[in-house]
Amino acid sequence: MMKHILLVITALFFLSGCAEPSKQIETENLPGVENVTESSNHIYTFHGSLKIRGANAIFGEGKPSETLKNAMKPVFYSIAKFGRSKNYKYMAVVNDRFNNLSGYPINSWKALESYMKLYGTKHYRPSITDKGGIENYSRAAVKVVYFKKRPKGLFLWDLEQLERDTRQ
Amino acid sequence: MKLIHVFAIGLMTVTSLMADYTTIVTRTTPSMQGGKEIFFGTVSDYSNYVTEISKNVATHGTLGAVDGMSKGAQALARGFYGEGLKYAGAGAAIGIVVGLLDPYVMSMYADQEYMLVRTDGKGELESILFIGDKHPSLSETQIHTILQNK
Repeated sequence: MMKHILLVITALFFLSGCAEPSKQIETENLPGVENVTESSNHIYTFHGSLKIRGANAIFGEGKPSETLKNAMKPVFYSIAKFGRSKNYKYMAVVNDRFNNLSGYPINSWKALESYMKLYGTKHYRPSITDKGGIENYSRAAVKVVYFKKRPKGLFLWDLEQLERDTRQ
Repeated sequence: MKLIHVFAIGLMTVTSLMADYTTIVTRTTPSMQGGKEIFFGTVSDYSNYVTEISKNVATHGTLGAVDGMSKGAQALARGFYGEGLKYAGAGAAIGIVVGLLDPYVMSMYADQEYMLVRTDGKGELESILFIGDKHPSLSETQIHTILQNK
């Protein structure tokens, strides 16, 4: 009898979501949502990558703001849509130099716009380690970790807000 | 005051006036008001401290003894969580999606990149990122003052 009671309590505990385990989701085609197809004007995906078509030329013309509008915006929109489709609410960008989990504070589209518009200005320059090649900027890259709850102490992106900000 | 001193002070003043920079303010929550400063320094230092704290949390399941951490990380941990240090990690319930790509944002560098972080004492944070040109440069004290007044 006691065993049955414990079993029921355990089941309720799991069903209530209190014991939700950590999940690792991997996708070969990130994110497999609208506006991200091989026929897209700006983006194509393969093997878990997102790459931007045309960014090279845009950078070559020195118009990072156009790159933001035409290329990065749909990337972030897709990331937001994908996360929300999986019921995640927040995300952290975890690229090497730009890592929210290491405390990097940029956590909204508006802030990212301000940040990226600095590209090529006297504040920000291409790294000398990049051998000076525009080629290095032909592919944009975003690596993210999604969260269902917002841990305090980290600058995370609100996916709902991000989706609103990047919808075109 | 010797002429050379006057010249030096004048040069420093002109230099600071010529300095150019941008600041970007972000918050962990849209509603945070006020706040106590818990960090000022380079973004790189902040990242190192946060990483150190995260490793501590990962090791102990919660924030453990801070004695083993660097002084900077200890100070930041106390700023985050107070003297009680009751933080239970951020690592739970995480879903990971890897899309990856060659960096672009990450390929930029700034001559001067500092940040000031404030907390409301309840775990929410406010950051002011400073991105500046080092020709001419501002001193850390000058940057600190600028950010404190933002």
